[in-house]
Amino acid sequence: MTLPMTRPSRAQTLLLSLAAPAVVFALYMALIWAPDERTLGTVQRIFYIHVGSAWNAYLSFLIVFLASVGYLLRRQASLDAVAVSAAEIGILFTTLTLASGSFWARAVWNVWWTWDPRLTTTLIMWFMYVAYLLVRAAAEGEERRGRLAGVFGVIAFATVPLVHFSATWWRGMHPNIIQTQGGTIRMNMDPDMIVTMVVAVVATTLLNAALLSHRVSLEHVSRRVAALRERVRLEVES
Amino acid sequence: MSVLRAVAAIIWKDLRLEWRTGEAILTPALLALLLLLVIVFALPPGVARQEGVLTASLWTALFFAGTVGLARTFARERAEGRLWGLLLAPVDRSAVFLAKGLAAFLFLAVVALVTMPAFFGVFGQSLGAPLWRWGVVVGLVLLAYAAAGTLLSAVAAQLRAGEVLYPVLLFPLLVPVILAAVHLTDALLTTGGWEREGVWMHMLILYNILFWGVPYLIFEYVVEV
Repeated sequence: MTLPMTRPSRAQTLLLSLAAPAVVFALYMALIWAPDERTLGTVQRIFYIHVGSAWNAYLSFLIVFLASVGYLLRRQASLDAVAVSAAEIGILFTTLTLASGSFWARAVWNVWWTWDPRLTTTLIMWFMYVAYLLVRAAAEGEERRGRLAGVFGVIAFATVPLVHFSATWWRGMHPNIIQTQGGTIRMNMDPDMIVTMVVAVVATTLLNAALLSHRVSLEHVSRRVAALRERVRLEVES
Repeated sequence: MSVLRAVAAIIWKDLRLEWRTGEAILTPALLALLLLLVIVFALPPGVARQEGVLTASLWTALFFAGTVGLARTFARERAEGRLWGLLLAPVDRSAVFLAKGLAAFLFLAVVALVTMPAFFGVFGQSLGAPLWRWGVVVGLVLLAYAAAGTLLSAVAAQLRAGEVLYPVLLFPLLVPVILAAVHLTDALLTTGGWEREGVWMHMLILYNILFWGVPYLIFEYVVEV
């Protein structure tokens, strides 16, 4: 009987050694290097962390969706492991998005929370993927868990756009920094701020990738442990 | 057996079952009326006749009471392997979804029909719009609710303590329906039509297309045994 592998692969080590300094560098740029915003002042620096988290939340839930579709079609346990890992990381980034946005709103709008479309959508998305984890926790058997979670992962992702449209028609006040006008993308920001934002997004995406790869290995290890435990139990009983 | 005949047979079975148990109409209807009481008790005195209170109370009660019946849509098929019987029928499995969804819609429609007069009475409001317009709005909302509810019911029926989890899984997905229901009802009460809130009508139709359509692709995976 071999014990599960716990040492990270070379690719994982490389990812982590890229992500760690990138995050530190992005924080330096966001907190020190980037210029102060004219009216909002230093509070605006939350923006970099906020955008990085929000982008990665959406990216993670896209991965959940793709891995879910893949699992339903192919039935490979590894795809299910990717789905659960991305869902957890997505919830983490969604929580960071909501929290950072809330701090910013307290300083700029003078409220912790308001029912703006993007805030509403993000909150509902958070509920959906917590529900996704609840489905996983309440399903018995590896096959059934993967299948039901896969179905829920697909439905949840398909509903997010509708939730967003409804929230848009309901109320709106979230700032739109990045706008598209006649096919070209316009950013209403100082060039230094754009650079900082891009660095922050790249750094958080690297962090996301590193977290995801480690979480997936952890999932494989824990499944392997569960299988071994089951074997031991059967041997003891017989 | 043609799909339509299979659908009709399953709906007929569900109606007979409902006649004998009353769990999909009677219990939700009573709960909706009890929720009306709770809401009236919880409201500060004097606001009952204000604009928007009827709408908020009506949909809060109907959406919550509805889950009690909807959660059982597939859960009740678990006893004695009845789901197996359904799935072994030589028809496409999406026919099973269609039939269960339509039966769930019929139950919800009866619940709405018998409880809504109480809401209008308690809050002292008149319809304010022709009956057929109310029929279209409430009908589309309940169709959307039934589709999402039936799909999720099939998922929840296979989970440990699924009926407890059911509303937590369902309500985040229902947000567009709830918002559309509230806006369209308000429009009916104040303007007598839905023209002012046309976008919500589109949303409701889009949601119906999505949630009656997606199961054709995905229901096979939900009930796989």
